[in-house]
Order: sequence, then C-alpha cells, then structure tokens
Amino acid sequence: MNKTLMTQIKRYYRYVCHIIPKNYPHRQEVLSSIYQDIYSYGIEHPDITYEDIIKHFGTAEDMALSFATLLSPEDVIKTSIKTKKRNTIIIFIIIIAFFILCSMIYHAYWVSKNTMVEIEETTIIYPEIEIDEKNSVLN
Amino acid sequence: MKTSNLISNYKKATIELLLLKLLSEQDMYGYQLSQELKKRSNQNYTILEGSMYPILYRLSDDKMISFHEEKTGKRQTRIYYHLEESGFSRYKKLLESYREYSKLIEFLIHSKEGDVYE
Repeated sequence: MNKTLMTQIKRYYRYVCHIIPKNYPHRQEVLSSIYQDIYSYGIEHPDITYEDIIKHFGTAEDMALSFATLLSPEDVIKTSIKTKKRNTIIIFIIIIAFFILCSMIYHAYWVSKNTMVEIEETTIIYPEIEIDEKNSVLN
Repeated sequence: MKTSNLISNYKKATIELLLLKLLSEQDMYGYQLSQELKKRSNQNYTILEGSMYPILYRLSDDKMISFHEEKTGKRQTRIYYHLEESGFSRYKKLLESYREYSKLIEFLIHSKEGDVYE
C-alpha cells in the first residue's frame, strides 16, 4: 500500500469520524473496527485507488447513515436523552455565566457610585519671617 | 417508497440473523463477516461496515457474543467475534421467527378473500 493511498484512507476515515455524531454508543470501537477493515482491504488489494475504497465501503455519508439506521430503539432513546441532558447543562452554564457577568458589572458600577472619596487637605502655616530689605541678596 | 429503501429495510431486518448464522459456524472478524456474506450471496447481499459493527457491539453488550483480539501485524490487531450460548439461542429464535413470518407473508401474497392463516 503506497503512501498516497494511506493518506487518502486516513482522510476518508477522518471524514467518517467527523460525520458520525460523538454521542453515538460504541462510536470509538466501531470507528476503530471500520479503520481496521479499510486497512485489511488495502492489504488484500494493494493496487486499489481511493475511488475503489468508496465503491467498496460507501461514502462517509453512507457509512454514517447506515450507522444511524441500525441503532436499536433503546440506543436512539439513550442518545437523544444524552443529547438533551448535555444541551440542558450547556444552557444552564451559559445562564449562570451571564448572571455572574451581570452581577460583576453591577458590583463595579455600585462601587464606583457609592465609594466615598476622601480628600485630605493639609494647611501649613509658616511663621512670619521678617525680610530685611536693606541686606537682601537681590540688592 | 423507493425500491432501494425497501431493500434497505429488508436488510435491516435480516442483518442480525445472518451475522449470528455466520458466527455459529466459526469465529470470524468483521471484514471476514462482510466478505463472506458478499461471497455466498454472489454480490447480491452487501453490508456496509457502518451497519454491521453497531449490531455486533450491541450483541456483545447483551452477552450474545464475545470477542478477542489477535495481533496481525506490527500495529494491527484483529477482533474475532465468538458466538456464546445465549447468542446461539437467540439465533435459533430469530431463525424460527423469520421462517414463521416468511410463511405468513407468502400466505398473504397468495391468499384470496375468505382465506385465513393458521
């Protein structure tokens, strides 16, 4: 199997990984098995091209679709519940973060409004100095 | 409904049965299972790996099959699937259901008004 074909196999595999949703059950094991099969196919047929791989294994979309359609009803429900839970948690975190941000901004505003500014004035009273006009340096 | 969708639905219904049938003969790895189905059906029954592996892993979750790894190269390992006792019982049940259901469909196709399936 030449390097170009290996690169293309990896490209096909990466695309399949990208298309199949991350929360499907046994996703990682299935992807690893698919990669093994593609590699075995490549070893058995050393002169194949990328188009031969697509012809034999189907496009990445076909692969993802066949994956999805063969999920059992329990898996579909589990996946849907997991997705809902994850989305709920994300929305909850966003709302909490928004409230924290708003309260920080409000706190900064409140501090700037209500902080008393203390101004210290210091008056220095110098004693009276008599200026001897006759003997001053200026004259 | 397109013909291809119909065929896809028939396949969906029979994939598990056929995989269990092949594993009842001997332990096989994934690629070997798909190739064997293709060879025996003379290219008429092809199964995408994306269809096959979710079923195999579901069967393994239900303890119908087990699997072991064998090293085939420097970094390559093959996973061989083995049918367990419970898997063999499931195969027998599925086969029986399939035969019953096929008989029923066959009967309905050839039935006339007043015919009743027994």
